[in-house]
Amino acid sequence: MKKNSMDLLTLLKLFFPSWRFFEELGAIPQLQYRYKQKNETMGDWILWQPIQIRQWSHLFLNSTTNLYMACNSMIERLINDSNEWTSNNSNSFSGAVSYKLVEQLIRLHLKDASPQAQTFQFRVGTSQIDAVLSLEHKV
Amino acid sequence: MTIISIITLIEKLIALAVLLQSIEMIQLQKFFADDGIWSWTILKSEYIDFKPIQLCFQKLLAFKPFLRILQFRLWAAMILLLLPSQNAFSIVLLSFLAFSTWLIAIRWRGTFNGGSDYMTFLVLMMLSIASVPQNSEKMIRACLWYIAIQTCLSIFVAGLVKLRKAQWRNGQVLQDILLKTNYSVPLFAKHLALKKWLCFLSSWTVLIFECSFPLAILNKKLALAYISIALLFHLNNFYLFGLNRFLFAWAAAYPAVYFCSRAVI
Repeated sequence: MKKNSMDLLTLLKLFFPSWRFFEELGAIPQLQYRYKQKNETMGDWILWQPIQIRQWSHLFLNSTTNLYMACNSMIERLINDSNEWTSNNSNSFSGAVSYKLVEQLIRLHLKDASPQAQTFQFRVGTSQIDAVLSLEHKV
Repeated sequence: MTIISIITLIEKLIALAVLLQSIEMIQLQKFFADDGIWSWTILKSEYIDFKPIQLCFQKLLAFKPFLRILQFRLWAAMILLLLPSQNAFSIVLLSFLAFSTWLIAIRWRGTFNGGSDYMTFLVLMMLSIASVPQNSEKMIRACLWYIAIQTCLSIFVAGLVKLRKAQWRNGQVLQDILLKTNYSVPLFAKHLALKKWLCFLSSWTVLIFECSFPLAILNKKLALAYISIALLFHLNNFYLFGLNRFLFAWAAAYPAVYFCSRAVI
C-alpha cells in the first residue's frame, strides 16, 4: 500500500533537475465536478477550466496562469497517486493528500462560482477513462 | 567582460526573477492559506516520516511563517537587485533566496513551477558558492561552468527526448499541444496549428535549435546568436502558453554560457 507521506526524493527534487519539457502529449487529464443544491438532485458534470486572459503585462507577473499550471500538476499527481494506491477498508484513497487537495480546489471554486451548492462530487481522468470518482462532500 | 561583471549580471538578473516570482506567490496567498487549496492542515500529514525535522517544517511551512518567508524573500531580492554586487551581504542574501526557493518547492510537493524552479535554484546555489569571501577565481569559474553546462543540458536534453519521438518528428505532438492542451493558447496560434506543414516545420526548427544548443559553448558569436534565439523562444512560449517564469530564470543563466564560450576559444 502506498504511504500517505512524502519521500526523501520528493523533498530533494530541486537538487536533481529534470529537463524533459513537452516530451509527449498523452491523454489530457480533466477535472470535472457536479453539485447539489438544497432539495435537488446532483446536476450535470461541469469541466473545471478557469478562464485565462493573456496580456503582455503578464510577462512580468502572471500569477493566475502559474496557479492554473500548479493546479494541473496537482490533478496529474492525483491520477498517478490513484494508480499506485492499493485501497483497503481502513485506508481509503479519500484520505490521500492528493485527493484532499483536489477536493479543496473544487470546494473553493464552488464557494465563488456557485454559492448555493450544498454538496459536490468530482471526477478526474481523461476523455477515455475516469481515474478517480470522488465521494460526495459538503461545500 | 570580466568574471566579476558576469557574476554581477547573473546576480542582478536572478534577483529580478526571484523578485517577480515572490510577488506572484504573495498574490496567491489565499490559495495556500489555512482555508485555501494548499492548506498546511492538509499538507502536514505528508511530513510524518521526517520526525527530527517535522517541527522545523511546521515552523517554516505553516501559512503565517511561510508568508513571512515570502515577504523576506521579496525584500532580499530587492536588496540584491539594488545593492552593489559582491558586497558582504551577498552570500547571506543569495543563500536565503536559494533556501526559500527550496522551501517553496517542498510546500508544493516537489516544485511549484517545474523547470523554472530548477533553474532559479541552480543559479542561486552556484552564486552562493561563488560569493564565499576569499574565494579563488578558479572556484568562481567552476560555478559559472556548472551553470553553463546545466543551461546547455536543459535545452539539449529537452531536444533529445523530443527527437526520439516519431510524433515530434512529424509535427503531431506540437499540433496537439497547441490544439488540445489545457494551456489557453491564443486563437491565432490555434488557427496556424491547423496547418500540418507549419507544425512539421516548426517542430524541426525547435528540434534543430534545442539539439544544437551546446554548440553555443564553442564560440562567442555562436553563443550570442543562440542566446538571442533562446530568448525569442522563451518569449514565444510566453505568448503561446503563458510561461513567463522561464524567460527570467533562463535569462539569468545565459551570461554564464556566454562567459564560458569565451573561455573555449
